[in-house]
Amino acid sequence: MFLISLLIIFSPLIGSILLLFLQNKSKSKTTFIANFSIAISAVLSFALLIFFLINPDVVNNYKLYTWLSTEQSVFNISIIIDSLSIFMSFIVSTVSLLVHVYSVGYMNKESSYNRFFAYTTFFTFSMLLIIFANNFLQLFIGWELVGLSSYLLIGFWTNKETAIKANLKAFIVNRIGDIGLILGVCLIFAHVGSLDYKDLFLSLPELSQKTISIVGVHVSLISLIAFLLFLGAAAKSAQIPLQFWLPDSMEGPTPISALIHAATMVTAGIYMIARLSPFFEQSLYVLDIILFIGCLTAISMGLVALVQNDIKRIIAYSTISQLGYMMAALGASYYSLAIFHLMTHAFFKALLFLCAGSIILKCNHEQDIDKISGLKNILPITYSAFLLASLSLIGFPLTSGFFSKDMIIEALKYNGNINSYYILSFSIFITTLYTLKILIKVFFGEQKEKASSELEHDNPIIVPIVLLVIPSIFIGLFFIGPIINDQFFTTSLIDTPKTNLFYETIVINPILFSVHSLTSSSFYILILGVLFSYFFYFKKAKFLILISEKLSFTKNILLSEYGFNNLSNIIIPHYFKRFGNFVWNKADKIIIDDVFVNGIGRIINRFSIKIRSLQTGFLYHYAFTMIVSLIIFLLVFYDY
Amino acid sequence: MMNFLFIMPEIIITTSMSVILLIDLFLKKKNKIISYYLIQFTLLFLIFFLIRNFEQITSLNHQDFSTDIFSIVFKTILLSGLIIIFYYSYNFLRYFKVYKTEYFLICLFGLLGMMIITSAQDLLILYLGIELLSLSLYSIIAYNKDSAFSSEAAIKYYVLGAIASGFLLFGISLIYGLTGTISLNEVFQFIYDSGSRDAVQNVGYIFALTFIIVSLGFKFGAAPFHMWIPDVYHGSLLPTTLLLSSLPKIAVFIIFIKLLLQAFIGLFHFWADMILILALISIVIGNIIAIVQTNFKRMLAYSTIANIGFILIGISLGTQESFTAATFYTLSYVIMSMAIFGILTFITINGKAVEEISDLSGLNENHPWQAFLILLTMLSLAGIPPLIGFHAKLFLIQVLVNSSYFIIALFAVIMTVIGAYYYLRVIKVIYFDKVSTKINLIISSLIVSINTLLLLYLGLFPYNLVNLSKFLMSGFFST
Repeated sequence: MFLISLLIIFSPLIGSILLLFLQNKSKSKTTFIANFSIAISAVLSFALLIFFLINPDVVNNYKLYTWLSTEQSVFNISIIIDSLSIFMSFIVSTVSLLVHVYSVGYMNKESSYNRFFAYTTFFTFSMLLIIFANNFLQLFIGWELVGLSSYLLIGFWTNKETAIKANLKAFIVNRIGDIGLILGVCLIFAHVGSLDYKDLFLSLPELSQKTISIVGVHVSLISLIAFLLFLGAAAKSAQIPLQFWLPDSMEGPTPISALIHAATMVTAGIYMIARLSPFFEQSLYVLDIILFIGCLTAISMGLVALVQNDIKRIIAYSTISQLGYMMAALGASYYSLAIFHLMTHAFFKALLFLCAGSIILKCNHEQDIDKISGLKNILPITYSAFLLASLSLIGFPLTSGFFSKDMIIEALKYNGNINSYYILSFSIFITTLYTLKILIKVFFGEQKEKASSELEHDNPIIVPIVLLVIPSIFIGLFFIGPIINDQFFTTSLIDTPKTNLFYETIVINPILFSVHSLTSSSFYILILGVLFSYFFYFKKAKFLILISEKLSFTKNILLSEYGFNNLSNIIIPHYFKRFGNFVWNKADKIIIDDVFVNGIGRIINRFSIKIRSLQTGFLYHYAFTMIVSLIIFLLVFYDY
Repeated sequence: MMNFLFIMPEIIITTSMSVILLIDLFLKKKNKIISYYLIQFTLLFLIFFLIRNFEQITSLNHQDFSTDIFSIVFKTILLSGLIIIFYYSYNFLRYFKVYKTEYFLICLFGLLGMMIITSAQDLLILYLGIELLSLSLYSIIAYNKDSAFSSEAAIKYYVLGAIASGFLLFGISLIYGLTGTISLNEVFQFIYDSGSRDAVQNVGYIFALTFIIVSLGFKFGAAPFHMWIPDVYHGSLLPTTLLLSSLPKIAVFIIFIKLLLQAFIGLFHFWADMILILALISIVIGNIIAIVQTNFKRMLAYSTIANIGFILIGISLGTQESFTAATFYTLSYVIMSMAIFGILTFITINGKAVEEISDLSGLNENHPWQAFLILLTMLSLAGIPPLIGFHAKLFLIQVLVNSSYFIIALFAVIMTVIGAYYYLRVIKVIYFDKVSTKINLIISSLIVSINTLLLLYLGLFPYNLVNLSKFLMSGFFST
């Protein structure tokens, strides 16, 4: 087990190093190295999952080696193998493999083909490092490395100005979250004396007694740490108010949007909170905050998606909204439901992005859905895949998305979080609207593009799309029983009894749950959404224009993302610039430049000149210096 | 019948040197490679010999010439270091057609000196070892006969070295006058037994210690006795610089251990501050002057001075912890130094050896792997995790903090940051500047890659080296 997991983690790293240093010009070699290294991970992860399902006793912490030990504490590099890490590594490596295959076709004409794959394999390694970490040290290293690879990949097209701005934004926003994370980790280290998750969980009873005083106000230590960690998770998983970097990150290549900004990296925050579930369970305040932020993000970002025209941005806002669902599930302590939704979402959202990439490629990098239409006949496979993925996203019964999303909504209702239940149910309506908006606008209507002789794309693009359809539709149906009911997460998450109770009372079995859902409100909302979008986008387009004119004020608010766009693009940069100018003029120029930098520079210069005048190259000067120094030493220490 | 096994390694070296010198006389110029292989074989055989007869040798502890585990381990380290250095040097010297077997034989004399130093239990034997090492270094610095720089550097080093040796001898004579013995253990015992001393005796000890420490500071290259280092590094051939910057540092560190820890630990209050002052001045001068250097070897010379300052900090605290950290620092510094000079010996600029930092501009364009190796060594020297240099600095600063020297710890950290500037500048030149020169590699860089990747490996798994350092130092503190 240990060796297998090591191979899973390090095979992408080896691939990445090979790609970086061989600098080979041949594309076929690059393709082989990248895909082969990821394929090893994917196959082994799958084997590990199967193995685990057969024999669930393999849970273990494997110590790799001691990295550092001080008198106070020991830092080990170790690997945790339990249901959660196995499950996550299965998701990440599978999606990663399919996206890599897809990229072979998508990035084919790029000149920096090699660099692209070096980055993506490195990203996969970093993500797996987070997943298999059993302590905060490794988590933090992986956390920073995924941030770095995300930064490099958003700005992959280095001469595209918007991309460079976007990657800077992503990096800076994530930095805010990282401050929270590292402060939380430092507090844990200060009070627990170890960075291992296990030690943290063991010392929970002790910690819950402690309070910490901030400016005179006493705060419960656990709540403070949980809040700081949540800040890190919120930045990585794009939750309000740190969500605005994700839509901009769509400037990167589409496979990257699929892999990093939909399926894997953005779920790292969800994963972290789930991984620390025994800890977060201790702080009901923070769980409430998480629930609130999750619901708020789910609905508000869905609304923003309605007014967008860029196909990738719509899907990006949809990602944020779906991450909100997962957060809400975490906030209500249904950790395994959040992870379940994470999985189905990873598959269908990756599929949506890959389809979007296929569309964008066909339309010569046109991303505005108002300018694309009638692609149904040109891209039949993409069309059917997109349709199925959309069904999964809106939660049509029996699809994967239906099981994971409706379970969350039903669980909230069952749990008594009625407000959240209403918000998330209403959010289904919005999800339906924007999803069908893309579908109708892009695939139906008048065909603008000329149907070229080659109907679809090459195999590398089509095959991953077709393969992803399978999990997008069916994985929910197959996994809901084993994952939720059969206590799959017993050893890693602490919500098993609660979730099981819910499952046994409401769900009973997948088919019954689907039948039951036909009578539930969320299904009617869904139907309502479908009807609305049919009338809005398909039949009476004029009516829509009328509405948007009447509600232009609301629309503008949504377009500006409730002011977050202005805040992040204009206001904060403006004030920061003013502040920066002030600091630059007053502090930097006068104090730092003149006094410190130039001043020290001048001093060092004078100093060096003085010393150089000693370092004359004349032997007798050297000897003189030596003897004088000796005499000074004798005088100084004479009566010591 | 006396058992000569304990001094057998030294005897083997001396005889094989004489034999190889004779054989070399009769070899044609194109067959000189035979003597190179003979030398390497001798060294390998010695390592084998030491490991094979480890238990027997360590059991034969002579009173003036110890063969304890400490000295055997250090001898093995020195021997294996020298094999690698010879490998780098040979290729360089062959390429520039200045190869003569005598070069390596002189180095072997130096090695003999260092081995005597590791075993010496007596001030005079120690002095003999030091002189043997110094004399062979003088001559290999002058080896590059065509270069005026080389001869100038050798003369400077020779004259200054003679002064320093005079200081050392004077210090030793004072010690002999005060204690009536030259055996390290007896000196220790005498100081330990004498208890309270009068003022005159104290002045005597202080004078003796000052002379000895100034002299050792010179040999180590600590400021303000550092002035020979830049000239010598700059003037001599790259292989010579490679040798100078690595193994003699271990040897001088051993001298510090032998004298300060083994003999004069009773006078800790007197020497601690002297060493600390040397350390601080070295760190400041090394780091600050390195910033303005444009010559790669001069820059590394000042970097050596700064690093020596760090080692001296460890020595000055005088605890087991601090000596362990200093040992760790010395060993890791030697590996780093061998890596960076090793890489430089493999690179030629327009058919010449590397001189200026700007010679390497744009190395990454055509030789990405070599550029990466230099990147690793520079980051390691700058003390950036997860490389070995990080742990070396971390342990030292940790020791400072544990001993409540917060100001000095802060100072060391600030100086490390300043130091990072000139290391990172090299990386900037290699990765971001335009290619301006034609860079060739002499031969494949397999060994040097292993040497450099060792920095990364030890950074990730520092525990073997830490345990080795702990083990080496434990002998001095057990009683």
